[in-house]
Amino acid sequence: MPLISSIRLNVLKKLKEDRGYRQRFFRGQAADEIAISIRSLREKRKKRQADLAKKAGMKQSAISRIEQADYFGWSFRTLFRVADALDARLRIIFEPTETVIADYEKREKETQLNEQFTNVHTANALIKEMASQELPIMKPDSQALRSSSLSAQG
Amino acid sequence: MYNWVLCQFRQVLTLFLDACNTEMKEILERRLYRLIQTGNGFERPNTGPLMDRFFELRGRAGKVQARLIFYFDADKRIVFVDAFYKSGNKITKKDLSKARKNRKLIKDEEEKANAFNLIH
Repeated sequence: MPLISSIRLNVLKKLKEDRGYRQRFFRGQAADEIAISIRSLREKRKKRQADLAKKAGMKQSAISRIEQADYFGWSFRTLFRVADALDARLRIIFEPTETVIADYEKREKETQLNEQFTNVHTANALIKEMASQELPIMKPDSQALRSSSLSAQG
Repeated sequence: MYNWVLCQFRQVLTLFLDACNTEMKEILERRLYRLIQTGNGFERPNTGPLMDRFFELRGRAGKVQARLIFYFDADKRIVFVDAFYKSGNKITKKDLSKARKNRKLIKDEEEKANAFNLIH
């Protein structure tokens, strides 16, 4: 058994087939995005959580909570206050599921094609290398071939 | 196209995910899926750097917190070497001992394979 193996996530299949999974996945993504955006913009503005909280008229603990990816308790009012304090635009986009799935499918196909392309190139390079080294595997023994074909006939 | 490939030491990640409850499994799967897309551009708070070039992917379901330990390797591989439920506040050196041991085993095997290729 090899020490290392690749992992395939069946996320796309579940997204397509299971509506409940899809809803939880998209909601979780939204929470992740909010936490990541606020934190990265705050760091870009070189502000501490306490600075941002003061500017937004909130408590530092509230900013800390919003920056946690697993937090779902924010309201639009809070988000607008944070956006104002960070001098940023808050944008909300509704994306239809079919567009998201089509985008994921396209990316996965491209990845698979790229993997196949890499594998073919690796295999070709290996064959060329073996041929250049004149390994016995590239030169079947004619005597052995003849005897095996004779035994197959007989 | 997703440029990054997820890899694991033996079945460390698959077994951990299989043992998780549905909520935790879905959270971790979602973040793993994002990790394939963003690779080393994946930001806090869902991932974070640890010591010795290790990184953690975080998952939290209620009070339970899971940590998946990985490192970035050549050919855009993200290699998971340990997974556990977090107990204390911080990830300590002791928590990373298994991850360190597993990475060493991988590196040793790769070195052996490279040496074999050089000879033949």
